[in-house]
Amino acid sequence: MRLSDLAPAQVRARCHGGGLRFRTGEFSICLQTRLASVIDAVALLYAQFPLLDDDAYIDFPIVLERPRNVRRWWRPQVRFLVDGHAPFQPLPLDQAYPMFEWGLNWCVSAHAHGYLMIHAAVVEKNGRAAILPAPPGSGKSTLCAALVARGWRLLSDELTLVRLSDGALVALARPISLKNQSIALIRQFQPGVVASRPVFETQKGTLAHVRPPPASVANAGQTCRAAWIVFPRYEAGAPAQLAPLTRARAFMRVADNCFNYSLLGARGFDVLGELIDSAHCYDFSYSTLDAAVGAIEQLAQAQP
Amino acid sequence: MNSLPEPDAAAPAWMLAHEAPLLVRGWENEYVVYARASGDTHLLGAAAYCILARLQVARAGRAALRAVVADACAEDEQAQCAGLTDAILADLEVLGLIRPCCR
Repeated sequence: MRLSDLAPAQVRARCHGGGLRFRTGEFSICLQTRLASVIDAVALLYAQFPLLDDDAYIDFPIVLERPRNVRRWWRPQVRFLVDGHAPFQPLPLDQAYPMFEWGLNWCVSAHAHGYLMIHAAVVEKNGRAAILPAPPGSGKSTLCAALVARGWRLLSDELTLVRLSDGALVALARPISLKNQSIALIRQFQPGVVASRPVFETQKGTLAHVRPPPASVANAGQTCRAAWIVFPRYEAGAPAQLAPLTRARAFMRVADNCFNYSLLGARGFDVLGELIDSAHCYDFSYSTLDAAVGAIEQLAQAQP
Repeated sequence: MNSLPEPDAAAPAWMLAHEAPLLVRGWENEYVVYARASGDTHLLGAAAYCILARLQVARAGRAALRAVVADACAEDEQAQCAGLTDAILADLEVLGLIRPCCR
């Protein structure tokens, strides 16, 4: 049973009561909240996600609520709790849904140490994955959304999970986070794209989330292997250009983009080494999404 | 009869800074090295890696390490080998991968 099989009133009743239990990739979530903005966004963006039974094990029991303080009346806020703890300061109430997404990212990155976790988007076609590691502002999520719009399977726009036991890439297909001008850009690139309403003046600017394609959600259990590691960089006016990068330099840059490379120690070094062994590595500058997607498609065709 | 000079026991030598073996992966003449003792990962060129590999076998003096670097250098780089060796030794010391010692 999927979330879209529930009527809006049922989604609301679960969120208000014992919690809306669903699975995203390898992780199970129980969401309790009375905030309509969060319930509406979850119902829209997680529509295809599988629901879990009431007795299913839950990795992340999450509560989003308004703190009971004086600000409740003159500047309302929202608080994120996981397992009863609040890892962050409250945020303005209208940022409740982004806070759910950020909080869930934090839950995974702080706990999932059975994986080497890279701050990177990852998409797959024909069983081979392209990992796109990059710092915020480099256009990683925008390029990821564009590739997904052109038929690549979304594994994640934010967290690349490399399973320590076998080096497989494990999907965490969740809504794609878009910022500022990227929102209009993707709406133009993919007319009809399903996205949450923009939230303004967050710490990252204006923010909206794009619903992951149903096929990406349905196939989230399929692992794949890295074929390319591409470091994207949006550069106004630049032609789409892939410049080969040596594997040793790519190793160092991916390590810099990992959440838990240092924590994993020698195991992290080995797993990352195997990942780099299997991939062709590039720096990638681009200025238009059509040209960028074309260049990545060409790369995939040239290296079957 | 001429004999080879005895190694000078007072001459400087180097050894790995820690006993724990280094983890190494190399591609296209560049190497990444993981030092278990510090948890740091370093990007090294071929000459620096050759010095580390030599010191993993046993401690060595400047002349022996210059010879190792000379083997790793192209013919047109031979004149710079001595200076390059000294610079690499200084860098590896700063990185905490090697340390000076007695022979």
